[in-house]
Amino acid sequence: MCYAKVMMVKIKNRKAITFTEIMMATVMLVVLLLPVFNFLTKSMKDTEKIHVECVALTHARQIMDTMMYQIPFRDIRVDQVSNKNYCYFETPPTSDTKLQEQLNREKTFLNTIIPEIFGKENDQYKEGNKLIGNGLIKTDKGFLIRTRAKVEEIDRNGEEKLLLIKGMKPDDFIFKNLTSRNADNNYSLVKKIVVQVKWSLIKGKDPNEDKKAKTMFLVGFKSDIEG
Amino acid sequence: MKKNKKGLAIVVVMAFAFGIAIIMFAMVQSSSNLTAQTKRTIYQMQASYLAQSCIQFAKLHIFLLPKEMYNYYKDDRSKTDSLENCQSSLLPGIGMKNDNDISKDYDLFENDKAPEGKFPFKGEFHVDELKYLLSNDNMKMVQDNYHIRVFAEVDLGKGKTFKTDPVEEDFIVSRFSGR
Repeated sequence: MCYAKVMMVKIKNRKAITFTEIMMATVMLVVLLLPVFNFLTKSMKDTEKIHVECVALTHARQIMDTMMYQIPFRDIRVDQVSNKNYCYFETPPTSDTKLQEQLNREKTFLNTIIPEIFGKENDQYKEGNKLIGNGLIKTDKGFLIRTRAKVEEIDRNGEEKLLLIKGMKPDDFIFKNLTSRNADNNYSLVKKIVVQVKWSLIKGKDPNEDKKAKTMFLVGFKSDIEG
Repeated sequence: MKKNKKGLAIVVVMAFAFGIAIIMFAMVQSSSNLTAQTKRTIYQMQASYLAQSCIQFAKLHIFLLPKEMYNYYKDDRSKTDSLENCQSSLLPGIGMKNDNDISKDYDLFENDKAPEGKFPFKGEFHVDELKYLLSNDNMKMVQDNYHIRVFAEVDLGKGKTFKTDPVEEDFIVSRFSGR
């Protein structure tokens, strides 16, 4: 009888499986299930990654929405002397009593909204008494997110040809001829806003110290259409 | 009668392996979808704010020059092109379409990495049409109604762009005060 036939007879006649076979089956099962478990672990990490990403994106959107639609044009200011990478928020000075009442309301609004949107962790939204476009957020799960907004005034001298209505000479409609100087002594009617949000995927780590930190930008141009 | 079970093992093993493969594929697919979705959300947000910027900028034209704008449409109300040159790429300080408009390592958290006049990404917006609708002149203040449609896009690199759907808005402007 050949070897194969002998083996077949042995297999047919046996009443149990050997320990070696059980071990081999177990090893095969482990090899198959290992990537599945790995994937599940990765999924849990991904959930946390998505959580911090969502919070970061929501704050970026909140900052941009508030600056584009809620904070008055005149209160978004640029520190032209220090040339810092963030703007500040302050109502302009006035001698008009009626306007002062309105500005006081705006001041109260700014004091409430700025820490909310930029994040109040470690009072990073303040520089002395000044409210600045900078902040630090700590999420419920302990991740840290940094926020910052920079503003540039477009056409400070009011001499650029920015108003382009078809058939009209743009030279006649420069900002200088259409508006008076603002509180910062320039003619700008458009402000460029850049919002940056930076977050680390490691709990408790400052994104500025994490080389693998994630970041995103939003850009908007706010025009002075408030009157 | 005894059934012939020869070869059944291979079928069972194949079915099991196939099942596992499908589960793994579905998991990997859903994970990569999430990453792509986040990126898409960011591009959508970036393009959307450019479109909103375009609407504000177009309104600035009309609020500053309400009478001039009305005069443009006075004789031919079917025109829609008064702001056809209102394109970000044509505007000094606002254009962010070309390579020299952006800074690749733009970072607000590091000194000197956010130079004035530069942008962190490329994009563009333009007014597609500005329609004059009608005037309310039976009131104390004469008011003009306009309808605007704008488009914006973000450059994703490698010749790809993310475009917004048209963003449209109706608004009313006082012909004499511009507000």
